[in-house]
Amino acid sequence: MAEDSFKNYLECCIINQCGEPGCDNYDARRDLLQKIIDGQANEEEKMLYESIVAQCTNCKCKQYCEQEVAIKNLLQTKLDRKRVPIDVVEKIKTSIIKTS
Amino acid sequence: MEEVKASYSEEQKYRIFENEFLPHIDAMYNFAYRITNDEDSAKDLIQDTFYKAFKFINSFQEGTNAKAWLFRILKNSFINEFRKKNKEPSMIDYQDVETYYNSDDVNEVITPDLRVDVLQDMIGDEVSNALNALAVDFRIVIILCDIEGFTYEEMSKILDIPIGTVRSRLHRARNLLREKLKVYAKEMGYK
Repeated sequence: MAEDSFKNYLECCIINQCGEPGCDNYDARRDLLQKIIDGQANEEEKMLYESIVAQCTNCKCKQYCEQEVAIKNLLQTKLDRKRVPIDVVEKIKTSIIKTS
Repeated sequence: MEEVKASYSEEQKYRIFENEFLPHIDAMYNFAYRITNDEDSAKDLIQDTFYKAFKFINSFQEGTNAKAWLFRILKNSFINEFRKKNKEPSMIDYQDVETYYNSDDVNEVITPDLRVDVLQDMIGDEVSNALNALAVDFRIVIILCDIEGFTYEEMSKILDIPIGTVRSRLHRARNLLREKLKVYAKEMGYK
């Protein structure tokens, strides 16, 4: 993300317009938050988030990130992970032997 | 870019199949089950996927990302064949799809009004029901990203869509999931 975008993003957050319809930096802000949530932000993006957004306790972006991380954890920890039935594995192996 | 095809011996094919494909079978079965909502359908889809993977194994470059390659085949099988044969309108919330696909240029309001402690109290069934209530295209991006841990770039290749579309679809999917979870939270008595 270019430095200008960062600056605009910060201004957007500082004046507390984040999440508001019509915010010019909506896409940039959404992409940054999403990268943070998904652990795909680079060092520069992490520093931006840590140094500014995370320090603002009333920032909607921070609340949004915390909530999304909680939902992500929920999906990873509370959904059943099924094991494929053994007979399916055997059927697959049989079918590929026939293929070759 | 021209696709480079390998030419594996039969022995190499079986080795790749055993060592690079089969380790992902549980993840793929879970994905198949989550997108079909049916165990038998998931079994059929998984068998079809592995059959095709072996048949077209020369298109796979050994040592590259087998999991993403297999998920792409699975997704294509689901879209091109399975979903056509198994029309299940009730599984898809078309209102959600219509609302969100028609709102490409509309800024959505972030509403961080679901408390983290409420989320942590939820049980698996509630989470599962909320996820299953999403249209399948939204469910797919959430599963690929949040459960299977694919990067946006990998998801872009699996789904054949640009990275920007991956991000915006994921964002919409998460907003929808949050709304579904809020309904459960209210039912649990949280305000």
